[in-house]
Amino acid sequence: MLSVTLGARRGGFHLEVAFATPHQRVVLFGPSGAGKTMTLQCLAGLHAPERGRIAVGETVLYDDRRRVNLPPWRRRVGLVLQSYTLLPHLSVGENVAYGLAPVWRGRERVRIETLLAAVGLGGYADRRPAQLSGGQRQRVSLAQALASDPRLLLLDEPFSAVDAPVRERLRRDLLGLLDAFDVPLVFVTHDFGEAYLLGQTIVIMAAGRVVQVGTPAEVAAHPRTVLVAQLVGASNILTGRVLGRSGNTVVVEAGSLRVRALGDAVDDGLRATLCLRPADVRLVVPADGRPAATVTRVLPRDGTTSVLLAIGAMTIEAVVRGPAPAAGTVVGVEIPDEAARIVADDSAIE
Amino acid sequence: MSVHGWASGTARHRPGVPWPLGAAGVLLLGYLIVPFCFGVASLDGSVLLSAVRGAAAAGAIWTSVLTATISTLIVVVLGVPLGYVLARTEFVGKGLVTAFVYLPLVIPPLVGGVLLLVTFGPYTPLGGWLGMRGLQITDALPGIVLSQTFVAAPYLIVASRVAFEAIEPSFEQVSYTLGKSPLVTFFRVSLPLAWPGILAGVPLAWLRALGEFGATIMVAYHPSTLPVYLFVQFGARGLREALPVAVVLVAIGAAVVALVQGVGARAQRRAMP
Repeated sequence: MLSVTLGARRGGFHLEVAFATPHQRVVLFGPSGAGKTMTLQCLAGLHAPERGRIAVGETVLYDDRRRVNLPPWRRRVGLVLQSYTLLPHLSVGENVAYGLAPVWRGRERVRIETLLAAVGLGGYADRRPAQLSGGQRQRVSLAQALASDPRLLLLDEPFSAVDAPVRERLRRDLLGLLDAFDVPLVFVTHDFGEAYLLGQTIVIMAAGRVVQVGTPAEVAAHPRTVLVAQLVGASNILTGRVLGRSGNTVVVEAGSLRVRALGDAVDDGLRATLCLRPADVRLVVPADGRPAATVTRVLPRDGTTSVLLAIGAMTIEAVVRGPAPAAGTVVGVEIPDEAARIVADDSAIE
Repeated sequence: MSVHGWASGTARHRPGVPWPLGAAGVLLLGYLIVPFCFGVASLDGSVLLSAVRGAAAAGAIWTSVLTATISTLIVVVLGVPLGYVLARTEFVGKGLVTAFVYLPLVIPPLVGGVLLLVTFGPYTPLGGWLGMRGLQITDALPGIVLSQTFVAAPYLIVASRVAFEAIEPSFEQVSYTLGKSPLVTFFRVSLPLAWPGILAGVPLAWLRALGEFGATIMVAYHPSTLPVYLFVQFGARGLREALPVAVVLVAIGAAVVALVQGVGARAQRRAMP
C-alpha cells in the first residue's frame, strides 16, 4: 500500500527512513525529536528529501532517480495537524468547501453535508470555527481533508491538544471514518496506546531512524532493542551474564536474579541485556533460595500500584493489583519463565 | 485555599508603577500635549475660515488628499507582496533588502527628494524619456505621488511583513495539501488572515504621505500639497496665516485616527462574539 524510502536533512538533523507495508493504517511512533513529523512533511511534499522514493499503491509521489517530485497541491494527501488550522474567516461549511475536490462541482452542498454528518457534525455548516470546541474543530479538519478525495490521509498528533475523554471518542470515530471512506492513513503519535489502537503497522522511530517495524502485537511482545522496549512499556532493563541457553531461551544471571528469557540475540556471548514488563514481576513471600528485594518506593496508580524494588545495586519496577507492600518491606521476587526478552542495547543512540 | 482566594489576595498587593517611571512618562506626555493647547489658544477664529478657504482655493487640500490616497494604493498593491516575500522566504541578500526597506525611514526626506530628482528630474535620462512621452514628473502630481510613495512604503511593507509572520505556516501547508496552489493560497488564506494587521498599516502610510514635505518640496513645489502650502504661507505671511493650515492638517490626522480606532473596535467586537 505504502512504500517509503527517504534520506532528508533539516539543519543538523538527518533523517533516514525506510518502510513498506501492505496495510491501510500506518502509525509513526516514537519520542519527540525522532523525525516523525519530518517524515510526514516529506510524504505531504512540504519538505524536500535529498533522495528516496515515496509510493502510495501504484502512484509515485517522489522518486529522485526518476526525477518525480509532485508539489503538495498535486499529491492529493489530506493533512490534519495538532494545531487548529480551520480558516477563521470562513464558516464550517465554507471550510469544508475550500477542500472540496473539483469532481464535486455542482453537488457541493450535498457533499459538504455528507462529510459533516460523517464526522458527527451534521447541521454545523453555518457555525464559525471560533464557536466550536477543540475536538469539533479537529472533526471539521478531518471532513475538510476528506473533501479533497485524498489518496492518503496524514494525521500529525491531531488529538493531542484535545481533552482526554474526547480524545478517546475521536480515535474510535476515526477508525469508523477510515472504513467508510476507504482511505489509507499515516498517523503520527508518541502515545503507544494510540499507536496500538490505530496502527495495523507501527513504525517505531528514534533519532531520525526506523528502529523497528511490525504489527502492534508484534512490537509489544517482541521489542528488539532497549529503546523499543522502553517505548512499548517493557521498562525494566537488566544486564547480566549468560549462564546457558536451550532452544529459544537464554538463562541470564542479573545480580541475584536468575531469569529464563526469550531470545537468541546475545550481545557478545557472555553478557546479555533483557527487558521485562513491570506487570510480569511477581512479589512473593520471602523464602530461602528466592531472590529478595527491598521495597524502596510505592507509587499509587489508577487501579494498580507501582512498587520500586532494590535488588542489590539494581532497581526494578513491579506493578501489582490489590494490596501493595509498604516501603522498607523485604519481599521475594519471582520472574516467570519467558516473561523477559533479550534485546539489543541501543540506548546509546539517544 | 481556593484559587479565587489566592488571586484576590494578590490583588491587594498588586505592584504599582514605580514613581520615577510615571514621572518620566508624564513629563514627555506633557511636552506632546502642550503645543496643541497653545496652537488652539493662539488661533484667530476669523483667520481660520479664510485660511481653509485659501487652502481649498489653492487646491492644496484636494491635491494632498488625492495624492496621499494614490500613493497609499500603490504602496498597498506593491508593498503587501513584498511583505509576504520577506515574511515567508529566505534568500541571499535578505538583510540588504530589509535595510533598503527601512532606508526611507532613516534618511532625511530632503535627501529622498534629491535622490528622486537625480533619478526622475527633467534632465536625467529617465525623466527626459518620460517627459518626451508627455509624462512630467517634477512639479506635477506624479512627482508628489513618487515622493509620498518613497516615504510611506516602509510603514506598509513592515506592517504586512509582521502580519504575515504572525500566521502559523500550518494554515498555508494545509491549504497546499487541499490542492490549492501557492497563488490561490496567498489570496484565500494568507491575505485574509493577515488583513487586519495590514489594514493597521494603511492609515499610518496614508498619514505619512499626507504629511510628506521634505521630498515633495524638492520634487514638486507645484501643485502645492497642504504641507508645502503651509510652508509657503509661513514664508510669505507669517505664523498667523500658517497656523490655520496646520490646524487643518491636525484635524485630518485626528479624524483618520478616530475613524481607524472606531472601525478597529467594531472589527474586534465582531471577531469575538
